[in-house]
Amino acid sequence: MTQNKDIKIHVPVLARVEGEGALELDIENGQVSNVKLRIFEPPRFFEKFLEGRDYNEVIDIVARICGICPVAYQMSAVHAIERIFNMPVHPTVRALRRVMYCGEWLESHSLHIHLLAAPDFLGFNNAIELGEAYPEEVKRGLRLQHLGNKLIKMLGGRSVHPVGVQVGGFYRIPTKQECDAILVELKAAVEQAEQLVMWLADLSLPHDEQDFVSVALRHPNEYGMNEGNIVSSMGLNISVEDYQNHFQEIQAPHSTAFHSHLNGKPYLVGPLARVNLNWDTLHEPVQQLLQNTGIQFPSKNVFHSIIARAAEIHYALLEAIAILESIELEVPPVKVASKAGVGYACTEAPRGILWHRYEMDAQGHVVKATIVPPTSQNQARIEEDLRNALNNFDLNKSDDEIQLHAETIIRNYDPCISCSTHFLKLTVNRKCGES
Amino acid sequence: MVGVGSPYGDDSLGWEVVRQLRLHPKIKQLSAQDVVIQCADRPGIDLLNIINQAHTALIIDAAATDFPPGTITRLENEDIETVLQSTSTHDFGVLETIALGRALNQLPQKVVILGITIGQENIEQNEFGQSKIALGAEHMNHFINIISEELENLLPKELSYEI
Repeated sequence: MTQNKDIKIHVPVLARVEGEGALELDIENGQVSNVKLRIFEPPRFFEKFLEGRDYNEVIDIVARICGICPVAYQMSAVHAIERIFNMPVHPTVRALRRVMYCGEWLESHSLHIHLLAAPDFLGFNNAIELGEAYPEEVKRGLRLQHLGNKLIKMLGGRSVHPVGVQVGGFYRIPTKQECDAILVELKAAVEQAEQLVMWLADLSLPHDEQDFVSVALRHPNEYGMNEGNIVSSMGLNISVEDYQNHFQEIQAPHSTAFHSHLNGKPYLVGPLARVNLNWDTLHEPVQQLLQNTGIQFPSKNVFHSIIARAAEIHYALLEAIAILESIELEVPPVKVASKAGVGYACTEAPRGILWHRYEMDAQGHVVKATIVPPTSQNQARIEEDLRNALNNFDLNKSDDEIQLHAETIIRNYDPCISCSTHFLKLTVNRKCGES
Repeated sequence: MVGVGSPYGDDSLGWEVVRQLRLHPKIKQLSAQDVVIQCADRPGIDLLNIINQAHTALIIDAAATDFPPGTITRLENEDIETVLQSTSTHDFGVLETIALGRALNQLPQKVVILGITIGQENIEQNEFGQSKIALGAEHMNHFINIISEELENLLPKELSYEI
Protein backbone atom coordinates (compact mmCIF):
# COMPACT_ATOMS: atom_id res chain seq x y z
CA MET A 1 0.00 0.00 0.00
CA THR A 2 1.31 3.39 -0.88
CA GLN A 3 0.91 6.16 1.55
CA ASN A 4 0.58 9.58 -0.02
CA LYS A 5 1.23 12.47 2.23
CA ASP A 6 0.64 15.91 0.76
CA ILE A 7 2.13 18.89 2.42
CA LYS A 8 1.07 22.32 1.26
CA ILE A 9 2.97 25.40 2.13
CA HIS A 10 1.56 28.76 1.19
CA VAL A 11 3.81 31.75 1.20
CA PRO A 12 1.57 34.78 1.12
CA VAL A 13 4.43 37.19 0.50
CA LEU A 14 7.18 36.45 -1.78
CA ALA A 15 10.01 37.54 -1.29
CA ARG A 16 12.05 39.35 -3.75
CA VAL A 17 11.00 38.09 -7.13
CA GLU A 18 9.71 40.43 -9.80
CA GLY A 19 6.17 39.43 -10.58
CA GLU A 20 3.53 36.88 -9.92
CA GLY A 21 4.50 33.28 -9.72
CA ALA A 22 4.26 30.14 -7.69
CA LEU A 23 6.41 27.12 -7.29
CA GLU A 24 5.12 23.59 -7.12
CA LEU A 25 7.40 20.76 -6.09
CA ASP A 26 6.58 17.06 -6.05
CA ILE A 27 8.96 15.03 -3.94
CA GLU A 28 8.67 11.30 -4.32
CA ASN A 29 10.84 8.84 -2.44
CA GLY A 30 13.41 11.49 -1.68
CA GLN A 31 13.67 12.68 -5.28
CA VAL A 32 12.17 15.70 -6.96
CA SER A 33 9.74 14.20 -9.45
CA ASN A 34 8.08 17.37 -10.65
CA VAL A 35 9.03 21.03 -10.64
CA LYS A 36 6.79 23.72 -11.97
CA LEU A 37 7.57 27.38 -11.77
CA ARG A 38 4.00 28.49 -12.28
CA ILE A 39 3.67 31.84 -13.94
CA PHE A 40 0.15 33.16 -13.84
CA GLU A 41 0.93 36.67 -14.80
CA PRO A 42 -1.90 37.75 -17.10
CA PRO A 43 -0.96 38.18 -20.76
CA ARG A 44 -0.14 41.80 -21.43
CA PHE A 45 -0.75 41.87 -25.20
CA PHE A 46 2.06 44.32 -25.92
CA GLU A 47 2.92 42.66 -29.22
CA LYS A 48 -0.69 42.89 -30.35
CA PHE A 49 -1.29 46.48 -29.46
CA LEU A 50 1.92 47.59 -31.13
CA GLU A 51 0.24 46.68 -34.41
CA GLY A 52 -0.70 49.78 -36.39
CA ARG A 53 1.53 52.05 -34.30
CA ASP A 54 3.96 54.54 -35.78
CA TYR A 55 7.68 53.72 -35.52
CA ASN A 56 8.49 56.35 -32.90
CA GLU A 57 5.46 55.38 -30.80
CA VAL A 58 6.85 51.85 -30.63
CA ILE A 59 9.92 53.03 -28.75
CA ASP A 60 7.93 54.71 -26.00
CA ILE A 61 5.34 51.93 -25.78
CA VAL A 62 7.85 49.11 -25.34
CA ALA A 63 9.54 51.13 -22.57
CA ARG A 64 6.34 50.54 -20.59
CA ILE A 65 6.91 46.80 -20.53
CA CYS A 66 9.30 47.15 -17.61
CA GLY A 67 10.00 49.88 -15.09
CA ILE A 68 13.42 48.46 -14.28
CA CYS A 69 14.77 47.75 -17.76
CA PRO A 70 12.93 50.11 -20.16
CA VAL A 71 16.17 51.06 -21.93
CA ALA A 72 16.67 47.48 -23.07
CA TYR A 73 13.24 47.41 -24.71
CA GLN A 74 13.88 50.78 -26.34
CA MET A 75 17.26 49.71 -27.65
CA SER A 76 16.09 46.44 -29.19
CA ALA A 77 13.14 48.24 -30.79
CA VAL A 78 15.02 51.22 -32.19
CA HIS A 79 17.75 49.06 -33.69
CA ALA A 80 15.26 46.72 -35.35
CA ILE A 81 13.34 49.66 -36.83
CA GLU A 82 16.50 51.37 -38.07
CA ARG A 83 17.49 48.16 -39.81
CA ILE A 84 14.14 48.09 -41.62
CA PHE A 85 14.65 51.69 -42.73
CA ASN A 86 18.26 50.90 -43.64
CA MET A 87 19.47 53.87 -41.58
CA PRO A 88 23.08 54.31 -40.59
CA VAL A 89 23.57 55.20 -36.93
CA HIS A 90 25.85 58.15 -36.20
CA PRO A 91 28.87 57.13 -34.09
CA THR A 92 27.91 59.60 -31.34
CA VAL A 93 24.39 58.18 -31.16
CA ARG A 94 25.78 54.67 -31.04
CA ALA A 95 28.12 55.63 -28.19
CA LEU A 96 25.47 57.48 -26.22
CA ARG A 97 23.08 54.56 -26.51
CA ARG A 98 25.78 52.43 -24.97
CA VAL A 99 26.15 54.95 -22.13
CA MET A 100 22.41 54.85 -21.56
CA TYR A 101 22.50 51.06 -21.44
CA CYS A 102 25.37 51.27 -18.92
CA GLY A 103 23.04 53.37 -16.78
CA GLU A 104 20.41 50.66 -16.89
CA TRP A 105 22.87 47.92 -15.96
CA LEU A 106 24.09 50.04 -13.05
CA GLU A 107 20.59 50.72 -11.81
CA SER A 108 19.08 47.27 -12.32
CA HIS A 109 22.07 45.27 -11.09
CA SER A 110 22.49 47.44 -7.98
CA LEU A 111 18.83 46.96 -7.10
CA HIS A 112 18.93 43.22 -7.57
CA ILE A 113 22.12 42.69 -5.62
CA HIS A 114 21.16 44.78 -2.61
CA LEU A 115 17.40 44.51 -2.37
CA LEU A 116 16.73 41.04 -3.74
CA ALA A 117 19.71 38.67 -3.72
CA ALA A 118 22.21 39.64 -1.03
CA PRO A 119 19.76 39.11 1.86
CA ASP A 120 19.63 35.41 0.88
CA PHE A 121 23.35 34.94 1.11
CA LEU A 122 23.72 36.82 4.39
CA GLY A 123 20.77 35.26 6.18
CA PHE A 124 18.29 38.12 6.18
CA ASN A 125 14.64 38.17 5.25
CA ASN A 126 14.76 41.41 3.31
CA ALA A 127 16.77 44.48 2.36
CA ILE A 128 15.69 46.40 5.43
CA GLU A 129 17.17 43.80 7.76
CA LEU A 130 20.25 43.76 5.56
CA GLY A 131 20.43 47.55 5.79
CA GLU A 132 20.38 47.43 9.59
CA ALA A 133 23.33 45.04 9.65
CA TYR A 134 25.25 46.37 6.65
CA PRO A 135 24.26 50.05 6.33
CA GLU A 136 27.38 51.21 4.53
CA GLU A 137 27.21 48.43 1.96
CA VAL A 138 23.53 49.08 1.23
CA LYS A 139 24.12 52.84 1.03
CA ARG A 140 26.90 52.16 -1.44
CA GLY A 141 24.50 50.04 -3.50
CA LEU A 142 21.89 52.78 -3.48
CA ARG A 143 24.46 55.34 -4.61
CA LEU A 144 25.40 53.13 -7.55
CA GLN A 145 21.74 52.61 -8.40
CA HIS A 146 21.10 56.35 -8.23
CA LEU A 147 24.05 57.04 -10.52
CA GLY A 148 22.59 54.61 -13.06
CA ASN A 149 19.29 56.46 -12.87
CA LYS A 150 21.08 59.75 -13.49
CA LEU A 151 22.74 58.40 -16.64
CA ILE A 152 19.37 57.20 -17.94
CA LYS A 153 17.78 60.55 -17.11
CA MET A 154 20.56 62.49 -18.84
CA LEU A 155 19.75 60.72 -22.12
CA GLY A 156 16.15 59.68 -21.62
CA GLY A 157 14.68 62.74 -19.92
CA ARG A 158 13.60 60.68 -16.95
CA SER A 159 14.80 57.48 -15.33
CA VAL A 160 11.49 55.61 -15.23
CA HIS A 161 10.11 54.86 -18.69
CA PRO A 162 12.51 57.28 -20.40
CA VAL A 163 11.34 59.19 -23.48
CA GLY A 164 14.56 60.46 -25.04
CA VAL A 165 15.19 57.78 -27.68
CA GLN A 166 13.94 58.20 -31.24
CA VAL A 167 14.58 56.45 -34.52
CA GLY A 168 17.88 57.85 -35.74
CA GLY A 169 19.11 59.16 -32.40
CA PHE A 170 17.92 61.10 -29.38
CA TYR A 171 15.41 63.90 -29.07
CA ARG A 172 18.07 65.80 -27.16
CA ILE A 173 21.85 65.31 -26.98
CA PRO A 174 23.29 66.16 -23.55
CA THR A 175 25.60 69.15 -23.22
CA LYS A 176 29.31 68.88 -22.55
CA GLN A 177 28.70 70.37 -19.10
CA GLU A 178 26.22 67.62 -18.29
CA CYS A 179 28.62 64.94 -19.48
CA ASP A 180 31.52 66.45 -17.53
CA ALA A 181 29.44 66.68 -14.36
CA ILE A 182 28.37 63.05 -14.48
CA LEU A 183 31.91 61.96 -15.40
CA VAL A 184 33.08 63.24 -12.02
CA GLU A 185 30.49 61.07 -10.30
CA LEU A 186 31.25 58.03 -12.46
CA LYS A 187 34.95 58.23 -11.67
CA ALA A 188 34.26 58.58 -7.96
CA ALA A 189 32.07 55.46 -8.09
CA VAL A 190 34.69 53.12 -9.58
CA GLU A 191 36.26 52.40 -6.21
CA GLN A 192 32.81 51.67 -4.78
CA ALA A 193 32.19 49.13 -7.53
CA GLU A 194 35.53 47.48 -6.83
CA GLN A 195 34.64 47.24 -3.15
CA LEU A 196 31.27 45.78 -4.07
CA VAL A 197 32.84 42.99 -6.14
CA MET A 198 35.22 42.04 -3.35
CA TRP A 199 32.48 42.22 -0.69
CA LEU A 200 30.31 39.81 -2.66
CA ALA A 201 33.26 37.52 -3.39
CA ASP A 202 33.62 37.05 0.36
CA LEU A 203 30.06 35.76 0.70
CA SER A 204 29.65 32.11 1.35
CA LEU A 205 27.75 31.27 -1.82
CA PRO A 206 26.34 27.77 -2.32
CA HIS A 207 28.67 25.55 -4.29
CA ASP A 208 26.52 23.95 -6.94
CA GLU A 209 28.17 23.27 -10.26
CA GLN A 210 25.78 22.31 -13.02
CA ASP A 211 26.07 21.59 -16.69
CA PHE A 212 24.24 24.37 -18.51
CA VAL A 213 24.53 26.22 -21.79
CA SER A 214 25.31 29.94 -21.68
CA VAL A 215 23.86 32.21 -24.38
CA ALA A 216 24.80 35.85 -24.92
CA LEU A 217 25.43 38.52 -27.48
CA ARG A 218 29.03 38.71 -28.62
CA HIS A 219 30.79 41.56 -30.39
CA PRO A 220 34.39 41.22 -31.53
CA ASN A 221 35.52 44.61 -30.24
CA GLU A 222 33.43 45.33 -27.18
CA TYR A 223 31.55 43.61 -24.38
CA GLY A 224 28.22 42.44 -25.82
CA MET A 225 25.48 44.96 -25.17
CA ASN A 226 23.79 46.63 -28.15
CA GLU A 227 25.17 44.73 -31.12
CA GLY A 228 26.69 41.43 -32.08
CA ASN A 229 25.99 37.83 -32.89
CA ILE A 230 24.17 35.42 -30.61
CA VAL A 231 26.65 32.85 -29.35
CA SER A 232 26.51 29.92 -26.97
CA SER A 233 28.97 27.94 -24.91
CA MET A 234 28.21 25.00 -27.25
CA GLY A 235 29.65 26.80 -30.25
CA LEU A 236 26.54 28.46 -31.67
CA ASN A 237 27.36 31.67 -33.52
CA ILE A 238 24.45 33.15 -35.44
CA SER A 239 23.17 36.51 -36.56
CA VAL A 240 20.18 37.88 -34.65
CA GLU A 241 18.07 37.37 -37.79
CA ASP A 242 18.67 33.65 -37.47
CA TYR A 243 17.37 33.43 -33.87
CA GLN A 244 14.10 31.67 -34.63
CA ASN A 245 15.83 28.94 -36.59
CA HIS A 246 17.64 27.81 -33.45
CA PHE A 247 15.54 28.93 -30.49
CA GLN A 248 12.04 27.69 -29.91
CA GLU A 249 9.33 29.31 -27.80
CA ILE A 250 7.16 26.64 -26.23
CA GLN A 251 3.87 26.92 -24.41
CA ALA A 252 3.94 25.35 -20.96
CA PRO A 253 0.49 24.61 -19.51
CA HIS A 254 1.48 25.94 -16.09
CA SER A 255 2.83 29.24 -17.38
CA THR A 256 1.38 32.22 -19.20
CA ALA A 257 4.92 33.07 -20.29
CA PHE A 258 6.56 31.00 -23.02
CA HIS A 259 9.45 28.72 -22.20
CA SER A 260 12.44 28.94 -24.51
CA HIS A 261 14.71 26.17 -25.71
CA LEU A 262 17.89 26.14 -27.76
CA ASN A 263 17.86 23.05 -29.93
CA GLY A 264 15.32 21.51 -27.57
CA LYS A 265 17.13 22.27 -24.32
CA PRO A 266 17.07 24.97 -21.62
CA TYR A 267 19.81 27.61 -21.57
CA LEU A 268 21.04 30.47 -19.43
CA VAL A 269 21.02 34.16 -20.32
CA GLY A 270 22.11 37.08 -18.16
CA PRO A 271 25.24 38.36 -16.43
CA LEU A 272 26.88 35.01 -15.76
CA ALA A 273 26.30 33.85 -19.34
CA ARG A 274 27.77 37.13 -20.59
CA VAL A 275 30.87 36.96 -18.42
CA ASN A 276 31.30 33.29 -19.30
CA LEU A 277 31.20 34.03 -23.03
CA ASN A 278 32.69 37.52 -23.22
CA TRP A 279 35.44 37.51 -20.61
CA ASP A 280 38.05 38.59 -23.16
CA THR A 281 36.15 41.79 -24.01
CA LEU A 282 35.78 42.98 -20.40
CA HIS A 283 37.99 45.92 -19.52
CA GLU A 284 41.31 44.78 -18.11
CA PRO A 285 40.68 46.18 -14.58
CA VAL A 286 37.43 44.17 -14.45
CA GLN A 287 39.25 40.99 -15.46
CA GLN A 288 41.95 41.70 -12.89
CA LEU A 289 39.44 42.28 -10.12
CA LEU A 290 37.58 39.07 -10.96
CA GLN A 291 40.86 37.18 -10.90
CA ASN A 292 41.51 38.64 -7.45
CA THR A 293 38.26 37.07 -6.23
CA GLY A 294 39.73 33.62 -6.91
CA ILE A 295 36.63 32.62 -8.88
CA GLN A 296 37.32 31.04 -12.25
CA PHE A 297 35.30 32.13 -15.24
CA PRO A 298 33.70 30.58 -17.19
CA SER A 299 31.85 29.32 -14.14
CA LYS A 300 29.37 26.46 -13.89
CA ASN A 301 28.05 27.66 -10.54
CA VAL A 302 24.98 29.76 -11.26
CA PHE A 303 25.30 31.35 -7.82
CA HIS A 304 28.29 33.20 -9.26
CA SER A 305 25.69 35.31 -11.08
CA ILE A 306 25.80 37.85 -8.27
CA ILE A 307 29.56 38.25 -8.77
CA ALA A 308 29.09 38.59 -12.53
CA ARG A 309 26.39 41.18 -11.92
CA ALA A 310 28.73 43.22 -9.71
CA ALA A 311 31.53 42.88 -12.27
CA GLU A 312 29.18 44.33 -14.87
CA ILE A 313 28.55 47.30 -12.57
CA HIS A 314 32.30 47.83 -12.54
CA TYR A 315 32.41 47.39 -16.32
CA ALA A 316 29.48 49.77 -16.93
CA LEU A 317 31.21 52.53 -14.97
CA LEU A 318 34.50 52.12 -16.84
CA GLU A 319 32.73 51.90 -20.19
CA ALA A 320 30.61 55.01 -19.59
CA ILE A 321 33.72 56.91 -18.45
CA ALA A 322 35.71 55.82 -21.51
CA ILE A 323 32.93 56.90 -23.87
CA LEU A 324 32.10 60.21 -22.21
CA GLU A 325 35.74 61.24 -21.92
CA SER A 326 36.24 61.11 -25.66
CA ILE A 327 32.83 61.74 -27.15
CA GLU A 328 32.12 64.43 -29.76
CA LEU A 329 28.63 65.68 -29.04
CA GLU A 330 27.87 67.10 -32.48
CA VAL A 331 25.17 65.06 -34.21
CA PRO A 332 23.67 66.18 -37.53
CA PRO A 333 19.87 66.14 -37.77
CA VAL A 334 18.49 62.86 -38.94
CA LYS A 335 15.86 62.51 -41.61
CA VAL A 336 13.81 59.36 -41.29
CA ALA A 337 12.51 57.73 -44.46
CA SER A 338 10.22 54.87 -43.52
CA LYS A 339 10.01 51.81 -45.69
CA ALA A 340 8.34 48.44 -45.55
CA GLY A 341 10.24 45.42 -44.36
CA VAL A 342 11.19 43.12 -41.56
CA GLY A 343 13.84 44.00 -38.98
CA TYR A 344 15.45 42.16 -36.11
CA ALA A 345 17.52 43.27 -33.14
CA CYS A 346 18.85 41.71 -30.01
CA THR A 347 20.43 43.55 -27.11
CA GLU A 348 21.60 42.56 -23.65
CA ALA A 349 18.99 43.58 -21.08
CA PRO A 350 20.27 43.37 -17.49
CA ARG A 351 18.69 39.91 -17.26
CA GLY A 352 19.89 38.64 -20.63
CA ILE A 353 19.25 38.79 -24.36
CA LEU A 354 16.10 40.61 -25.44
CA TRP A 355 15.12 39.75 -29.01
CA HIS A 356 12.72 41.82 -31.12
CA ARG A 357 11.29 41.32 -34.60
CA TYR A 358 9.15 43.91 -36.37
CA GLU A 359 7.36 43.82 -39.67
CA MET A 360 6.45 47.33 -40.86
CA ASP A 361 4.53 48.80 -43.78
CA ALA A 362 5.75 51.58 -46.07
CA GLN A 363 4.31 54.26 -43.76
CA GLY A 364 6.40 52.97 -40.87
CA HIS A 365 3.50 51.36 -39.02
CA VAL A 366 3.87 48.03 -37.27
CA VAL A 367 2.26 45.09 -39.04
CA LYS A 368 3.52 42.45 -36.63
CA ALA A 369 5.77 42.48 -33.57
CA THR A 370 7.49 39.67 -31.69
CA ILE A 371 9.30 40.26 -28.40
CA VAL A 372 11.22 37.55 -26.56
CA PRO A 373 12.28 38.80 -23.11
CA PRO A 374 15.11 37.25 -21.10
CA THR A 375 13.02 35.97 -18.21
CA SER A 376 10.97 33.69 -20.44
CA GLN A 377 14.24 32.39 -21.87
CA ASN A 378 15.53 31.59 -18.40
CA GLN A 379 12.34 29.96 -17.15
CA ALA A 380 13.10 26.44 -18.36
CA ARG A 381 16.66 26.78 -17.03
CA ILE A 382 15.31 27.81 -13.61
CA GLU A 383 13.16 24.67 -13.49
CA GLU A 384 16.13 22.54 -14.58
CA ASP A 385 18.29 24.19 -11.92
CA LEU A 386 15.67 23.60 -9.22
CA ARG A 387 15.42 19.94 -10.13
CA ASN A 388 19.19 19.44 -10.07
CA ALA A 389 19.86 21.57 -7.02
CA LEU A 390 17.07 20.15 -4.87
CA ASN A 391 18.07 16.59 -5.69
CA ASN A 392 21.46 17.51 -4.25
CA PHE A 393 19.80 19.15 -1.26
CA ASP A 394 18.81 17.25 1.87
CA LEU A 395 15.10 16.83 1.21
CA ASN A 396 14.55 15.56 4.75
CA LYS A 397 14.97 19.14 5.85
CA SER A 398 11.90 21.10 6.81
CA ASP A 399 9.60 22.53 4.20
CA ASP A 400 10.72 25.99 5.31
CA GLU A 401 14.35 25.16 4.56
CA ILE A 402 13.48 23.58 1.21
CA GLN A 403 11.38 26.58 0.35
CA LEU A 404 14.12 29.04 1.24
CA HIS A 405 16.65 27.16 -0.84
CA ALA A 406 14.26 26.99 -3.81
CA GLU A 407 13.47 30.67 -3.54
CA THR A 408 17.15 31.52 -3.34
CA ILE A 409 17.73 29.59 -6.57
CA ILE A 410 14.90 31.42 -8.33
CA ARG A 411 15.93 34.84 -7.07
CA ASN A 412 19.49 34.24 -8.20
CA TYR A 413 18.22 34.52 -11.80
CA ASP A 414 16.68 37.94 -11.11
CA PRO A 415 13.47 36.87 -12.83
CA CYS A 416 11.24 39.71 -13.92
CA ILE A 417 8.02 37.76 -14.23
CA SER A 418 5.87 40.81 -14.53
CA CYS A 419 5.95 44.31 -13.24
CA SER A 420 2.71 44.22 -11.36
CA THR A 421 2.41 41.47 -8.80
CA HIS A 422 4.13 40.26 -5.76
CA PHE A 423 4.00 36.77 -4.44
CA LEU A 424 5.10 33.20 -4.72
CA LYS A 425 3.00 30.37 -3.41
CA LEU A 426 4.89 27.17 -2.82
CA THR A 427 3.21 23.80 -2.77
CA VAL A 428 5.30 20.80 -1.80
CA ASN A 429 3.68 17.42 -2.43
CA ARG A 430 5.61 14.67 -0.71
CA LYS A 431 4.84 11.10 -1.59
CA CYS A 432 6.35 9.07 1.21
CA GLY A 433 7.76 5.61 0.64
CA GLU A 434 6.00 2.32 0.26
CA SER A 435 5.02 0.09 3.15
CA MET B 1 7.40 68.56 0.22
CA VAL B 2 7.25 65.77 -2.31
CA GLY B 3 4.26 64.71 -4.34
CA VAL B 4 4.83 61.09 -5.26
CA GLY B 5 3.08 59.60 -8.28
CA SER B 6 3.06 59.34 -12.04
CA PRO B 7 1.67 61.43 -14.89
CA TYR B 8 -1.66 59.71 -15.45
CA GLY B 9 -4.67 58.32 -13.61
CA ASP B 10 -5.29 58.15 -9.90
CA ASP B 11 -1.60 57.87 -9.18
CA SER B 12 -1.16 61.46 -10.37
CA LEU B 13 -3.13 62.72 -7.37
CA GLY B 14 -0.01 63.42 -5.29
CA TRP B 15 1.39 65.50 -8.16
CA GLU B 16 -1.84 67.38 -8.71
CA VAL B 17 -2.15 68.33 -5.08
CA VAL B 18 1.43 69.55 -4.97
CA ARG B 19 0.98 71.54 -8.18
CA GLN B 20 -2.02 73.32 -6.71
CA LEU B 21 -0.24 73.89 -3.42
CA ARG B 22 2.53 75.64 -5.32
CA LEU B 23 -0.04 78.18 -6.49
CA HIS B 24 -1.34 78.81 -2.96
CA PRO B 25 -0.62 82.51 -2.26
CA LYS B 26 0.85 81.87 1.17
CA ILE B 27 3.05 79.05 0.01
CA LYS B 28 4.29 81.14 -2.91
CA GLN B 29 5.71 83.57 -0.34
CA LEU B 30 8.00 80.92 1.12
CA SER B 31 11.60 80.93 0.06
CA ALA B 32 12.58 78.10 -2.25
CA GLN B 33 15.62 77.60 -0.04
CA ASP B 34 13.47 76.99 3.02
CA VAL B 35 10.83 74.81 1.43
CA VAL B 36 11.59 72.69 -1.61
CA ILE B 37 8.44 71.52 -3.34
CA GLN B 38 8.68 68.89 -6.03
CA CYS B 39 6.97 66.03 -7.79
CA ALA B 40 8.70 62.66 -7.93
CA ASP B 41 7.92 60.22 -10.73
CA ARG B 42 7.62 56.73 -9.13
CA PRO B 43 10.91 57.26 -7.35
CA GLY B 44 11.15 53.91 -5.54
CA ILE B 45 14.18 53.96 -3.29
CA ASP B 46 15.39 57.12 -5.02
CA LEU B 47 12.96 58.89 -2.68
CA LEU B 48 15.73 58.62 -0.08
CA ASN B 49 18.01 60.69 -2.29
CA ILE B 50 15.30 63.33 -2.63
CA ILE B 51 14.60 63.75 1.08
CA ASN B 52 17.79 62.83 2.90
CA GLN B 53 19.18 66.38 2.99
CA ALA B 54 15.98 67.81 4.45
CA HIS B 55 15.21 68.55 8.09
CA THR B 56 11.59 67.58 7.57
CA ALA B 57 9.95 65.69 4.74
CA LEU B 58 6.26 65.96 3.91
CA ILE B 59 5.31 63.27 1.42
CA ILE B 60 1.97 63.30 -0.37
CA ASP B 61 0.90 60.20 -2.23
CA ALA B 62 -2.21 58.47 -3.51
CA ALA B 63 -3.04 55.56 -1.20
CA ALA B 64 -4.99 52.34 -1.44
CA THR B 65 -6.81 51.86 1.86
CA ASP B 66 -10.11 50.52 3.13
CA PHE B 67 -11.31 54.06 3.83
CA PRO B 68 -13.63 55.99 1.51
CA PRO B 69 -11.94 57.76 -1.41
CA GLY B 70 -10.68 61.16 -0.37
CA THR B 71 -9.75 60.11 3.17
CA ILE B 72 -6.36 61.42 4.24
CA THR B 73 -4.23 59.10 6.35
CA ARG B 74 -1.45 60.81 8.28
CA LEU B 75 1.64 58.88 9.34
CA GLU B 76 4.57 60.40 11.16
CA ASN B 77 7.99 58.96 11.97
CA GLU B 78 7.54 55.80 14.04
CA ASP B 79 3.90 55.52 12.93
CA ILE B 80 5.33 54.45 9.60
CA GLU B 81 5.45 50.75 10.27
CA THR B 82 5.95 48.62 7.25
CA VAL B 83 4.74 45.11 6.85
CA LEU B 84 6.79 44.00 3.90
CA GLN B 85 3.89 42.90 1.78
CA SER B 86 5.73 43.65 -1.40
CA THR B 87 9.43 43.39 -1.73
CA SER B 88 10.04 43.42 -5.42
CA THR B 89 12.12 46.33 -6.65
CA HIS B 90 9.31 47.10 -9.09
CA ASP B 91 7.04 48.11 -6.26
CA PHE B 92 9.38 49.22 -3.54
CA GLY B 93 6.95 51.88 -2.41
CA VAL B 94 7.04 54.85 -0.09
CA LEU B 95 6.57 52.85 3.12
CA GLU B 96 9.26 50.31 2.25
CA THR B 97 11.61 53.12 1.28
CA ILE B 98 11.04 54.93 4.55
CA ALA B 99 11.67 51.68 6.45
CA LEU B 100 14.91 51.19 4.53
CA GLY B 101 15.91 54.80 5.16
CA ARG B 102 15.35 54.28 8.88
CA ALA B 103 17.50 51.14 8.83
CA LEU B 104 20.24 53.11 7.08
CA ASN B 105 19.85 56.12 9.37
CA GLN B 106 19.27 58.29 6.33
CA LEU B 107 15.95 59.90 7.17
CA PRO B 108 15.17 63.53 7.92
CA GLN B 109 14.45 64.27 11.58
CA LYS B 110 10.77 64.28 10.83
CA VAL B 111 8.93 62.41 8.08
CA VAL B 112 5.20 62.91 7.59
CA ILE B 113 3.26 60.97 4.97
CA LEU B 114 -0.17 62.11 3.89
CA GLY B 115 -1.84 59.30 1.96
CA ILE B 116 -4.97 60.25 0.06
CA THR B 117 -7.24 57.26 -0.52
CA ILE B 118 -8.08 56.77 -4.19
CA GLY B 119 -10.36 53.75 -3.84
CA GLN B 120 -9.22 50.16 -3.59
CA GLU B 121 -11.96 48.91 -5.90
CA ASN B 122 -10.60 51.01 -8.76
CA ILE B 123 -7.13 49.61 -8.31
CA GLU B 124 -8.39 46.03 -8.29
CA GLN B 125 -10.39 46.62 -11.45
CA ASN B 126 -7.57 48.56 -13.05
CA GLU B 127 -9.92 51.48 -13.49
CA PHE B 128 -7.32 54.04 -12.71
CA GLY B 129 -8.46 57.60 -12.99
CA GLN B 130 -12.05 56.94 -11.99
CA SER B 131 -11.93 57.89 -8.34
CA LYS B 132 -9.76 60.93 -8.88
CA ILE B 133 -12.31 62.33 -11.28
CA ALA B 134 -15.06 61.49 -8.83
CA LEU B 135 -13.27 63.34 -6.04
CA GLY B 136 -13.75 66.71 -7.73
CA ALA B 137 -12.83 70.26 -6.85
CA GLU B 138 -14.42 70.23 -3.42
CA HIS B 139 -12.14 67.43 -2.30
CA MET B 140 -9.13 69.14 -3.82
CA ASN B 141 -9.79 72.31 -1.84
CA HIS B 142 -10.09 70.20 1.29
CA PHE B 143 -6.72 68.53 0.58
CA ILE B 144 -5.08 71.90 -0.03
CA ASN B 145 -6.39 73.24 3.27
CA ILE B 146 -5.32 70.19 5.26
CA ILE B 147 -1.86 70.07 3.71
CA SER B 148 -1.35 73.82 4.09
CA GLU B 149 -2.12 73.48 7.78
CA GLU B 150 0.25 70.56 8.01
CA LEU B 151 2.99 72.56 6.37
CA GLU B 152 2.38 75.48 8.69
CA ASN B 153 2.71 73.22 11.72
CA LEU B 154 5.91 71.66 10.39
CA LEU B 155 7.63 74.95 9.65
CA PRO B 156 9.83 76.58 12.26
CA LYS B 157 8.23 79.65 13.85
CA GLU B 158 10.28 82.16 11.90
CA LEU B 159 8.94 80.76 8.65
CA SER B 160 5.35 80.30 9.75
CA TYR B 161 2.52 81.83 7.82
CA GLU B 162 -1.18 82.17 8.26
CA ILE B 163 -3.53 80.13 6.18
